[in-house]
Amino acid sequence: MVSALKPLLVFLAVGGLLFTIERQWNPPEIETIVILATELEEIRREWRKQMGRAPTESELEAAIQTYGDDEMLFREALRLGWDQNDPVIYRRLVQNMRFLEPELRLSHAELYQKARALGMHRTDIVVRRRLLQRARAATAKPLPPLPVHQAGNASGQVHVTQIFLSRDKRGEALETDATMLLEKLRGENLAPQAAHELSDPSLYKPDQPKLTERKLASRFGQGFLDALAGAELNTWIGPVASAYGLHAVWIHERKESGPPNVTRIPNSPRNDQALAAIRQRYRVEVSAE
Amino acid sequence: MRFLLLIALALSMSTMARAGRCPDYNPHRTAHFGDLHVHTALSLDAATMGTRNGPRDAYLFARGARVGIQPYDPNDRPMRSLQLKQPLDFTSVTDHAEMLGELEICTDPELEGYTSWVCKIYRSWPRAAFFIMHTNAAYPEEPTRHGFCGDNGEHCLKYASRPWQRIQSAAKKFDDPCSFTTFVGYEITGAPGGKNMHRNVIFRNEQVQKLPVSNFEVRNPEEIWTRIRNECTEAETGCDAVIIPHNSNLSGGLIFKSPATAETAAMRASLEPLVEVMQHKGDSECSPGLGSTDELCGFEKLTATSFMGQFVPFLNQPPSVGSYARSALKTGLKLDAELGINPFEFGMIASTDTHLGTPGYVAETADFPGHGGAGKPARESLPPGFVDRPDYNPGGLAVLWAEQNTRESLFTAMKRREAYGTSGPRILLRFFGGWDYDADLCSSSHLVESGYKQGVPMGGVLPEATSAAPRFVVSAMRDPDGAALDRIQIIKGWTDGDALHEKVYDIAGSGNTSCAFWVDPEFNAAQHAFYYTRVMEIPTKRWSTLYCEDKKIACEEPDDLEEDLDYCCDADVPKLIQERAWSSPIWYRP
Repeated sequence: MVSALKPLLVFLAVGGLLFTIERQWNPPEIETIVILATELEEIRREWRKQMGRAPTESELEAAIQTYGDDEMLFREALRLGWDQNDPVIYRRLVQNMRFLEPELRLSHAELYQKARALGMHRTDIVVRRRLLQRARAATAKPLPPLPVHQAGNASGQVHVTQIFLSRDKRGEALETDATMLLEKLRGENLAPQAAHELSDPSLYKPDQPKLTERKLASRFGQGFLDALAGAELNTWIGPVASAYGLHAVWIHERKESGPPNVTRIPNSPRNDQALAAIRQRYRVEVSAE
Repeated sequence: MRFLLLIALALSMSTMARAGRCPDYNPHRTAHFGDLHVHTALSLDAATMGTRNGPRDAYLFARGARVGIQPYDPNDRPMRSLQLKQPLDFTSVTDHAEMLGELEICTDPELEGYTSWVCKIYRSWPRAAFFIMHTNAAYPEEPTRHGFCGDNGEHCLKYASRPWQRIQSAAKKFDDPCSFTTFVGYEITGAPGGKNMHRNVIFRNEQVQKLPVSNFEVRNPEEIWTRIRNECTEAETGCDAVIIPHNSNLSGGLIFKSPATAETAAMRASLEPLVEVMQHKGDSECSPGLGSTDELCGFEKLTATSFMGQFVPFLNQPPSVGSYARSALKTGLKLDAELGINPFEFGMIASTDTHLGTPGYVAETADFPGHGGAGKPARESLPPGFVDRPDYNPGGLAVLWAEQNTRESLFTAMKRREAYGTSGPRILLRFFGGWDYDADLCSSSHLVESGYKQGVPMGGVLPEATSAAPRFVVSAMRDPDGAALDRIQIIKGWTDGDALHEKVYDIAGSGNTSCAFWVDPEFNAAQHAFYYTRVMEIPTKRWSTLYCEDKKIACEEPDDLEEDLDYCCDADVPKLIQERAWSSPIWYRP
């Protein structure tokens, strides 16, 4: 087995040596990306557009780096010839020519070549975006994706009876009244049905139907719902505060929420390592002019 | 054997009864909050503004999902996303009928017409396409389709059926009886001479028109009603629909133009039971100075008075009486006396008119995402300063009182006008009118039961008089996440011969909950009248104010302000908003 691998190992060793020598003798050319003063102003303007303020020095530096990276990736994609085998770019260039010179009676392939001869593959914004999109995907690393369509947590269900004391009606006596109400309910061991008449009038009846937690929160407020979390079933709890006053609450039933239902689309954040390797072949310069 | 058959019959009947009723079925009805005016990427204006959310995304959003919106980065990732704090109970996606086929053709390279110059502009310069295509569809007195639509627009009509199917299938997929209701719908977007005639059509069930009626096929409201009647409500296919006009504030008085005959008045009355009085593009309830001294009418007013006037300010005419719901309600009383039928016997709702596919996102926050249609574009990047025109707002909600959350129950509520609108907050509002209510009804735990039993709810017509004057009871609760209530008002309109009158009564003061019993002190049994209630919140900061505070704008040095942030220091941009709810009226006929 080892003897069978021997020629391969020798081949790799010699190949590696030759590669290293070649790299030393012919270091890769460094390409310069010059960012003109007008482009720098455009970067600043774009930042203000997005953020509503001027960038700080470090933010501007990061924006220049991103701008330089985009140009670098675009050039790399062109260098690798990705613009020559892409159906989106093909269609785009053909469409551009049709729009520019509608009277031309040429085949798609001829129109495509004509567009390339005019340099459209280097100047068209859609071609650029497409190539950047592919380059970014190629330098992406598989990180957890960003949720775009993320459903809210599946809401649990709860069935309560609430005996309401109105803040508007009772004013300063509200807290005392609520304490007395709970003492009575607990002392007399009143069942929920028997307690309805102790409630102040409200559009929300004492006996609420079985509702999702979200729905209950939309009726009485999130604080009301939070106060019920972990509370014991089939006993009077409270006083529980809502936007309207205080409540004595009896929880008949509670069904916990299920796991969140999440739909995601893939994300492709840049892979810093891959980018760093390409950056070695480029230099970004900011021109003063 | 007969015994067994009886048991089987009883069992099947009980199953049927259960099948039609949700677990939270409420014979005294529950308030359901929703949005009946929603655009997605299937609408030309939304698509050219960079909206990518389709009908399914809109329904997902309404149910509580987080959804991305434009601008998108080069990796096609949305740079903003939204999520409702409280999901909606019902929603209808109402894309514009006019360009459904055109957009399909312009985006499918396989279709003839894809390479037409209009489609090329659509794909290359969407902003220009918005003006070219929308102007062609909406503004001429007799709009004609683009050439690539073929003879009589047949080619575009043929391909309009594809998005129309997508709209229907999304509604079908997301309709979830007892939990969340969808309605198939669309918008007819005519604006002859730039004056808004926009109407939404909402269907009762899956039986809908073969294709939506668009402004290319109809020239006036009468033709719309006739088409809907022939193709839906009288087609004996099980189809039923309501039509909801909106943005009468931009109609130059056209939306509430009086019908010429009793027949057209009857058509309008039967097909248009609701009007949308508030949305992104402002309030249409009433306008200060137009037959009204009501200072609270100065609410979320647009600077434009016609749709076109938003883009070409010199086209704006002074506000017209016929542009506001309250004026129309008064005119309706007079027409009722003259024609024997009231064409303007409508209830009131609000909605958003979102063009981002994000129904019900009505939060008044610094992050108001904008309208996404007629306003500022955010396709490539966010605009400088305010995200949209400063006179736009996050819109409102439609509320329907229904026994349960199903299409049938909610649609029936629309038909009987047991509906109200809010400018965003989830204010809870009951309004009953009758002749025999007890004065202490507010302190009764049976207010709602008595309300129904002894009278009619909002949207109703008072029965024959059994006492000297009509009595009303209004009960309201604040949004638990909103501001406290400031007051409850009743707005009365009445006729006196040819003269039309209105009066606003403050009937209850501030609180977290509020209830009032009210007897009309100036009732005249010989005069037609309507009564509706308006519940006011205490004033709170408007989205634009919150935005400016968030940006820490210093108005002391206005020259240093960046583009469009000068609105922060513009005295004409209101700093506060007094959120509110409007009930549907209750009518009295002599």
